Amino acid sequence: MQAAMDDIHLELNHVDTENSDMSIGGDSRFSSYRHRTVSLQRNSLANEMIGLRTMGRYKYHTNTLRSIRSPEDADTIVNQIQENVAKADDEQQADQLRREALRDMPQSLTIKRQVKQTLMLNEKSRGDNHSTIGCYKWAVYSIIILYSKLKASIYNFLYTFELWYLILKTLEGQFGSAVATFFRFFRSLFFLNLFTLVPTFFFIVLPQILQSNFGDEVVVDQESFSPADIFTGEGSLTNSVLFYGHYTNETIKLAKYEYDMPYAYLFTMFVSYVIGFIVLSYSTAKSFRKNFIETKGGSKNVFAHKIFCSWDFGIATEDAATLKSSVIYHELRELLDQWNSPRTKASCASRFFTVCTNFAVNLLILFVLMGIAFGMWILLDKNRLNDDNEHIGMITAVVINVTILVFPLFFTIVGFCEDYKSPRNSFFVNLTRTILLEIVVIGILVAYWITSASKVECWETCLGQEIYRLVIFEFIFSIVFLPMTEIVRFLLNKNFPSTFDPPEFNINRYTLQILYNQTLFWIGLYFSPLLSAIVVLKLFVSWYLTTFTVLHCCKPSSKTWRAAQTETLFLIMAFLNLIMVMTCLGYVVASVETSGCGPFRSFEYVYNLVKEGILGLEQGQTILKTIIYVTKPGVVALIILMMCMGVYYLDAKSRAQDAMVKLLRNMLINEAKDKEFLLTRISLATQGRYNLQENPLEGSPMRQRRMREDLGDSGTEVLLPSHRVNI
Amino acid sequence: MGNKLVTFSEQQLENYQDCTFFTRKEILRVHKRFREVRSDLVPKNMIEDQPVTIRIPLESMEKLPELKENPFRSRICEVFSRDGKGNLSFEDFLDLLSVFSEQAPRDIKVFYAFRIYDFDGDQHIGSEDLDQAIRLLTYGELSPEDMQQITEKVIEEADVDGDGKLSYMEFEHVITRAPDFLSTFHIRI
Repeated sequence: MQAAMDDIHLELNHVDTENSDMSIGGDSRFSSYRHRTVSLQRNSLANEMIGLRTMGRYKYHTNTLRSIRSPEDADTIVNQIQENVAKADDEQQADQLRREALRDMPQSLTIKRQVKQTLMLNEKSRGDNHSTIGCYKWAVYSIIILYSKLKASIYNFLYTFELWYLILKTLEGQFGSAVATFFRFFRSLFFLNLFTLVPTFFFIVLPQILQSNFGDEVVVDQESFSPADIFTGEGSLTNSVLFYGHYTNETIKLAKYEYDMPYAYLFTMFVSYVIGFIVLSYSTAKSFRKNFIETKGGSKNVFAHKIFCSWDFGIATEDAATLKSSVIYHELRELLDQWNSPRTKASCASRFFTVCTNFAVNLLILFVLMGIAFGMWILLDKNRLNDDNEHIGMITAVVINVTILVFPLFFTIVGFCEDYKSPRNSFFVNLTRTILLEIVVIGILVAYWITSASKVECWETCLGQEIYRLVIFEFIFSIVFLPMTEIVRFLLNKNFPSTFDPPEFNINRYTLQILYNQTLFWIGLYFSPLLSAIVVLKLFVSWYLTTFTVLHCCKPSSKTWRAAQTETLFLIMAFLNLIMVMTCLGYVVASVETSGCGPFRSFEYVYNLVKEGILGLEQGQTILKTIIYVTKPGVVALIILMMCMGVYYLDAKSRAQDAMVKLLRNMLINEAKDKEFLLTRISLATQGRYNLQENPLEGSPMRQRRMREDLGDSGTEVLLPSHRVNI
Repeated sequence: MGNKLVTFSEQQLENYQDCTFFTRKEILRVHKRFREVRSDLVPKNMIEDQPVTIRIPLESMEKLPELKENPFRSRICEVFSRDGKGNLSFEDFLDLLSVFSEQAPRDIKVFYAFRIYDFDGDQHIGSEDLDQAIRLLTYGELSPEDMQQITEKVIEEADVDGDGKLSYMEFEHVITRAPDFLSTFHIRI
């Protein structure tokens, strides 16, 4: 018996190394069917895994590799890699494949190093007789290699300058990866704004400053500077580099150099927005793919996820670990309770009632938003008409900021009346409502000033001033108000621990604040170029303040926060905000007549600058006609329709593959049942001569073939139902 | 300028860079942390085969700040050590951090996660493995009946071929669909 078992062991290993892609060894009856299943499975899964390169990633079967412990076995890996790589077209691709295979191989570092050395030796020995490739291909591949080397050295370089690394690490250790993700998001926004600051400062602000101080223009007499001006943005600051109205529309002449201000202004702004758009869309797409698409499908595995994925490996302090452990304990208990006493399906009447309440609450919120919009409009009107009262500008800004702070709390309270299926849904609804509030506030502001364009001398400067005031007061509120509440609660908790809870870090609120700030920045950049410097400074100070408050006063939250998906959500919202801002500015550039101030004074519409100034187009030319034709609404709608059709097609394809995965999974389950059936039949047929034990080798077809051969085919012909399935 | 003592030779650094997901500076930082655990055992520059031979014992390794509070720390060290007992050499340590780093792809992390959760090493995650995992996670607070129920639920959810334990394929299928796996299975050095 032992000899037979050893035999089977050897055969299995042999079969494994031969057919390393199949999970069960082949046999005549089973192998053809299984081969089809497995290759189909592999194909559809391979197609499904998004992000695979066209040459494919080679999944080394774990059974073979897991047993390798000694350096001699490294040769088997080398041979496997060589075999797979031999299919590659030429040297460079083979090289890249080899490197990829090496890095992705789940082996210990020592073995990988040895494999690499062996591969290099083999390469060197074969070196001289590789086929000559054409000049073009060689150029392409050397560019690719150069590019990857450049990328590696850039990463290396950036790594030395990693800003705030230590603070992030301490935060992660104390609060977990969710909070760390939020602060990393904060840091990346800071860098994005910094990179917007550089072109705007050097191409727009600096030339204007030089021109005002050294140029030939007549200096308009300035009002005297008073400290209140910092808060209102009016007075002496109105006609400064801070706002749109001050910028000249002429060519600046300094010494021998000429510098065309209007063109510089328009193009620098365009480039800044486009860079921001590209960076944000790329990170949003990457995050969406990683967190939503790759994890779609499959069955709900609540318990398994809880056990295997809930411990945060970044935790480094004892308090956080104890808290996390108790959180996991409570969640497991909750899940068990839910399972043992499931919620009975709500009756028709209560469902109807829930729908009614939801509808009523949404209606209420809609009315509240409309009321806010109306109130703001009236306030802005009063502000414009009461020009002599200096402080009314500040009052407007304060009122708006208070609205932004208070109404989300109101929405949360109202949201308690509603009953959503899961806390995640209610969180998402709350978030949407708060974002809508911010959009309404900022939208009304911009809409008001665009419609009042004719009533004021320089509406762009006025709008710039409003946004400047909002930014300044939001800074004051976020420095004074929010950290103060945390510090006060912390002190209260220290002195009266029984009555007051220590403050918890609320990611939601901080992220909304950052999003609001960022949207203000984007809409204000066009009307106030120096706003980028102010916002960068603000973010810098805000970072230190927030991290200090969080590290010393807050305790980690006891709610599990789905960091990855929430981060994607916030990125998507930031991206949508940017798109709306760019649409708005596009409208301003294309359809709003310029006022008598600012760099575009001499043109009727801002886009005329491009049309006449650069392209020199006049009426009747063919290029002009084609451009006008292309931007007609009909053509644009057609293009959008085609893009929607493309998206629908891809979505249908992915849904079809999902269905395929489900079908294959069911086939696997049927296979397992067939195996059980076979084993019981065999045990019956041999009248108990071969005892069935719980053994992983037991069910292998190899053993079954052996047993059948021994019996001399005395068993009955068994037709398994699953064999009739046609794929 | 004087004699600059180099921690690793150029060839060594390039080998490490090709075989792990780290850049040069990160590799040097890993070496610094490795040295901080036991500065008496680890020299400042690693020559010849010192990266493989010099080992830090399990007890000292568990005091590393990143691993100190991790309930699976001893199992992690065991999985990545070549002698199977948890004594890590520098290359093992580098390997460990490389797999747990942000740049490592999902497949490699899933592979090592399976090995970590397979406490008895029988290439399957059975009910004893799950019991052990739950006990470590909750610091032993759950009652045995609850633990058994949870174990049954997990196997029920994930087991496809009906053998009462999770094979690598089943584990992979479950974990790849978890949205939080990548963000939690991550140690930053």
